[in-house]
Amino acid sequence: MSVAALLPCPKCHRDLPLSWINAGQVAPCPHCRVRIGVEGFPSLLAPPQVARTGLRVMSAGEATCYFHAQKQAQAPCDFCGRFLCALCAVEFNGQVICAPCLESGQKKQKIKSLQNKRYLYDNMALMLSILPWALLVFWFLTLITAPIALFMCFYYWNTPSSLIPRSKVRLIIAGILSLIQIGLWTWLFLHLFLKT
Amino acid sequence: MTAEEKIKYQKLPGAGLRRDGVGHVVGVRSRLYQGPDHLLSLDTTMGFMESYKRFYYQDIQAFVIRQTHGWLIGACVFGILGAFFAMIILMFGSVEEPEIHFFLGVLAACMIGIALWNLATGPSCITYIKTAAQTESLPSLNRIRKARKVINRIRPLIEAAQGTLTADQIATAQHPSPPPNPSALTETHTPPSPPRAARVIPAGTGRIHLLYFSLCVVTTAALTLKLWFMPLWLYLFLSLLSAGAWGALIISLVDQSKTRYPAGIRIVTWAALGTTVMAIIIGYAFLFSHMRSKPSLRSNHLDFMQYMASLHPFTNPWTQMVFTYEIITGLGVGVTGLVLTLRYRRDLKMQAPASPAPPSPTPPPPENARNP
Repeated sequence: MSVAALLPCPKCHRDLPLSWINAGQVAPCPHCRVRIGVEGFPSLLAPPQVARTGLRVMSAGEATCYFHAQKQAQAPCDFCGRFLCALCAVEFNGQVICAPCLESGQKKQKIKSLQNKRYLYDNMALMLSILPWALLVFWFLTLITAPIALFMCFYYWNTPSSLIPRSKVRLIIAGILSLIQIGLWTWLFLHLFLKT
Repeated sequence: MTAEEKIKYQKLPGAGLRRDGVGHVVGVRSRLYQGPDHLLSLDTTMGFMESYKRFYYQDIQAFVIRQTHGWLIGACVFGILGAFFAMIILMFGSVEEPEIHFFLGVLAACMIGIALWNLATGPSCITYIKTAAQTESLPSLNRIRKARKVINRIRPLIEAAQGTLTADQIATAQHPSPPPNPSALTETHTPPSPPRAARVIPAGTGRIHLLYFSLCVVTTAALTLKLWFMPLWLYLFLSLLSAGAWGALIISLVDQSKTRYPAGIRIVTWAALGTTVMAIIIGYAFLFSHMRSKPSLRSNHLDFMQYMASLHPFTNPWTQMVFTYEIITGLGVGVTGLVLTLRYRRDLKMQAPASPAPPSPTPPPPENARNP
């Protein structure tokens, strides 16, 4: 493998000289003239890691991998306890996990460091309680949006929000605003009803 | 699964908009956070959804900073617009509509402020983070100064995980020592391998651009009819054309983000977006000032449309300015874009027969196989 191929220009995808690493300035790419600066770290020049393969079973009584009957078991899965060969054992956060456990942990959002998406229900509730007012002409939509916002405040109170620390102040404001709106609507209906 | 302890993140300077994938259509705000063992890239889509990407310090190979011209273009565009609005205030000083003057003054101040801010924050850039498996852009690091500041802040963490990359290591990697095998010495004299082929992005057809620029020209031509007659149907027809042009413009921008177009077409399309947004701002200022001066029009939409349709382009300096702006920008963008797109489509057609035909997935059977 060519060493220079490690560092492609982000525009023309051709190789940049390695001497540019940590040069502390931007310089024009020799191919496309776009000005580039590179801050590199040792793993850039490290040789690629070789994938591990499981060892074959040598004797009859040997423990085998749950997924590969011909391979020797190296470690059990820390979650389900299945025996795993070197190929199937995934080291993750200092634990050994099998692929199905990893997949289910990611799908069910149980492994925090695998979560790649979260919904901000507090923002949604706040938007529902503010937007119809902010748009002025759509104020009548609060008849629908206020109960929805209030429902979201209660239903998603304990649902984890962003990975970044975040207070519940948005949910509280949304709840108060939607309660005010519901109160106003109730007053309006009662007023009209009593008038007629 | 075991409950994992809460990770403490520190916000890193900078925020930017992601302009790839869904970011073309809806606003995707991107920020960076520093974790104990990884860098977290957080994208917020429309304020409702957060998506995360983690770059572990032990995996980060490099940060590549690519300088762009956005800061200079931004400073020029906003500076010119600010000067333009300031000039209008000075030229039409006798107009008896102080709210328009105030609005234009605020607009001019904002434009000049943005231009100065663009210059003060320094050269713009796109920063990429490279690992063994991916190269991802970091939209929050959109200024060179800011990117260097953030990289210097997380450098000790990366070096704690990987060690320090010395100049000797780089020099060794650049000029590897010849292997002891004498036969291998001949390899050092062989010419270097050709550079890898650039990533292939499909060429755009230019159809939607053609439609948009044609709509621009047609709208401008229809607008000039207002000099001679001003029926309501023309006003409605112009509104319809403008709505169509808006739709075509958005699709064109999405199309050119995914396919390859010459720089000229790209720039004209972006300029069209800028001029259209400006026309909308001016139009709204005009609308509000008239609605304030004629409160009777507020209640009846039809009356209002009839009033707008009946306005001659030279009724007052304000309508004259709006009309002139729309004609100049519409013709400028429409004709330039049309010429560029037609030329591009012609070149595309000429190149098409020269390119080799794609190989058929299954070769035809030999003659004797067909006729046994």
